[in-house]
Amino acid sequence: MPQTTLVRRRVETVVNRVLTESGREPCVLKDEHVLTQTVGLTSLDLAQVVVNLEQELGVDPFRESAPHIATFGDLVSLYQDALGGSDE
Amino acid sequence: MTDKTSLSILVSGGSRGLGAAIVGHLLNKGHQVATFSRTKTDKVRSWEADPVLSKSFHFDTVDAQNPSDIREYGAKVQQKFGRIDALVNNAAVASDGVLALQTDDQISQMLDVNLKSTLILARECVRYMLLNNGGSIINISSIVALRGFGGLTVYSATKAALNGMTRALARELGERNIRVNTVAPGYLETEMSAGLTEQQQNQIIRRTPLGRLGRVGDVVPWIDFLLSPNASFMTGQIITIDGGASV
Repeated sequence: MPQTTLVRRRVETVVNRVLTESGREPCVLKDEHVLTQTVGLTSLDLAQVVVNLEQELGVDPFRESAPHIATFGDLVSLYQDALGGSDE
Repeated sequence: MTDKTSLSILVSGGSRGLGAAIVGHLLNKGHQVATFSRTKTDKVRSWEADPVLSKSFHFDTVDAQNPSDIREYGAKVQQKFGRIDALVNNAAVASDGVLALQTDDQISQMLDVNLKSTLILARECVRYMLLNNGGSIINISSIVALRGFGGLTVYSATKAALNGMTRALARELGERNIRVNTVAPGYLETEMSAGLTEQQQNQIIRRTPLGRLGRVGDVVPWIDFLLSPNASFMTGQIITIDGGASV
């Protein structure tokens, strides 16, 4: 499995874990889904996603800068870039 | 998290004074305790040499003015203990003197150690607490954050900032079962108040209804309480322990 696909799956798994841990339904995530609206993530949810992904992937793209992300696709790209991958 | 009998607790500045009293008490209660300070004291050496306590104690020399060192220390404690259940933000420095004669360096040092590093350490610990879905943060503030005392303007500003941090962070983290509270002692009989003149000490005692300086033993039980399940519905609070001096 290409690393980029693997990263996407890990991000999706963690987002859904954060949702279910707080009693919400998991969902099939698409790139265009807006994290705060379609997915329903709060800022604290996102922080929880980030710290969990740091444990799993060993990187935190939010450490040295405050990137603007709106959609699930933005979030996945951020981690793919941090890990040196691309969608191609 | 507070229903566990043994917690993993990070106490900043735990080599002397109130910090050392807190560390010693928590170790004796069977908790795992990590602490740091700029220098290692005989008290720290005694914990490291104790055949029982040393197993649950971790100390490093860390300069709280260096943010990257603070960040690394949080990671090291998480790695050593496997989790961080609680943080006691105790590290602080105080340069006594009227503001008009404080140097830029003195002001920077107090802001860096008392406030910036406290926020950075809290951030690091909060990240680990989010992984555990729970935790407790206790800030050590001071009566001077509530009542004016000449000669401690910068120190007072940093401690008042901790009170604001307590309330904001409590709101931010409540839904993840992470509680944030503050203990604000009056003047204690520690090295920090040893620099006061006899006249200053007498003035404080005169202004204190219970007629004495505080002792570390007046404060430590409140740390115990805030870490315990008895405080599980308590967050965002400032507990003043000052013999009534602030009323």
